[in-house]
Amino acid sequence: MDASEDTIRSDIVALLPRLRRFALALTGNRADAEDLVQDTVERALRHLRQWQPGTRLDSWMFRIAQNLFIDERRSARRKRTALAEVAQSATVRDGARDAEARLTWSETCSALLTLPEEQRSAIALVLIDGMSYRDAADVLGVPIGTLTSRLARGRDGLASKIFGTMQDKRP
Amino acid sequence: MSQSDPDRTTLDAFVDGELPASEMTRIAALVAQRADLRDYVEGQERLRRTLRDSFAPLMNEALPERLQQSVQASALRSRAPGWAWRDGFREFFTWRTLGPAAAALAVGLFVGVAVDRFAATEGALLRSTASGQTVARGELSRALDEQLASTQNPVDAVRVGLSFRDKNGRDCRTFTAEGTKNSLNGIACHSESDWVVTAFATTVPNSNARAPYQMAGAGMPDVIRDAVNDMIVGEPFDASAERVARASHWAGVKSR
Repeated sequence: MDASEDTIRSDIVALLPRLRRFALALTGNRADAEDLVQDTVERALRHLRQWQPGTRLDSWMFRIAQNLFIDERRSARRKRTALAEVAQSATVRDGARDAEARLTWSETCSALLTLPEEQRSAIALVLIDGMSYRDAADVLGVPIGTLTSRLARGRDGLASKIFGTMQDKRP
Repeated sequence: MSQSDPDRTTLDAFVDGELPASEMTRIAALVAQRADLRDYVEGQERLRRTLRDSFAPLMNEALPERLQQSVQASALRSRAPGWAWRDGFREFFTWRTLGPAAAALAVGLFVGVAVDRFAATEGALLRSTASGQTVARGELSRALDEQLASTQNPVDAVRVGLSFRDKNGRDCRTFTAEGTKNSLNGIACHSESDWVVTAFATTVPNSNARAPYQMAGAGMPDVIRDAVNDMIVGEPFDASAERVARASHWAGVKSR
């Protein structure tokens, strides 16, 4: 293993917490999120030479995770698990509807799971992970205009869920 | 709302730091003057903060054993994520890897000290380049790229402090990566695509919880504060200037 490849592998390890957070936002439950991260890492390592030096490693890894999620979302098992967890956590508690809501990640996931998948991915990348529009659009393979449209709808949906009426304050 | 008012997409892009520098400044001025715009922007910033904060405890959790085993089985060396940062830390704190730039800095060093908050989940925060520079990586690099001092969470693992323009025209930021036993404090300046760490020091953190609205430069070691004073041109960035600098990808005078 040469030094540069060793560095890339080390960088992949450093990305794991962010990947896990992204996977949780997509799947809504730990078991599926950890499966998704594991699959993502294994696929990335198998295809490490496909990554272009000079491009963003995190974007590449997130894109792998996103594609794997899309591939597997058709799985009835995954859908049943996610929906069961949504029902169990009863979405966002009423107490969250104050000025500075404090949510647990599972409550956030419950709110996210009420959004269509494409809005959920956009919110997870930009609002939660902090990616730029350009990088998030690259991960999702959509134009920036499509991304911002999904973000706007996702923001409204989440604000309604978390804060109740915040979306009505739009100027 | 008049025709010159920013539309929803523009306001969202402002909140996300995605507008060109001149537009960021214009919208910031409008937001400061108009209560309706301010309400909307503050609401969106609150949403961003709430979402991100909810995952903060998770980011400090150890990765599951089966994932670590999977990583190891995939020939990701024998180094579990928990050790990546610690190993990097040890490597960082050697004169061999620090090179002459570090030797020129009169800062205190602790050799082999684990910042165990990171040891659980974070990868290496610093690396040495072939040219002998020390640059930020992983969570530190991401925090320097994205976090705003005005909106960051006081419990974030990496916090930024002052942002400022240095005498070489670079955008620079102070940072603290806090562990339960030690904190790594430093200054990083954006150069090309990297954050070059120009000064650093380790300290024993204050045992008291950080105040939610602590001043940006509070708690900064003297050696770092002195280094900032030697480097800075003008005043540190306020919240608006910090947001504009982020939108310009910390390009320094090149953004002007």
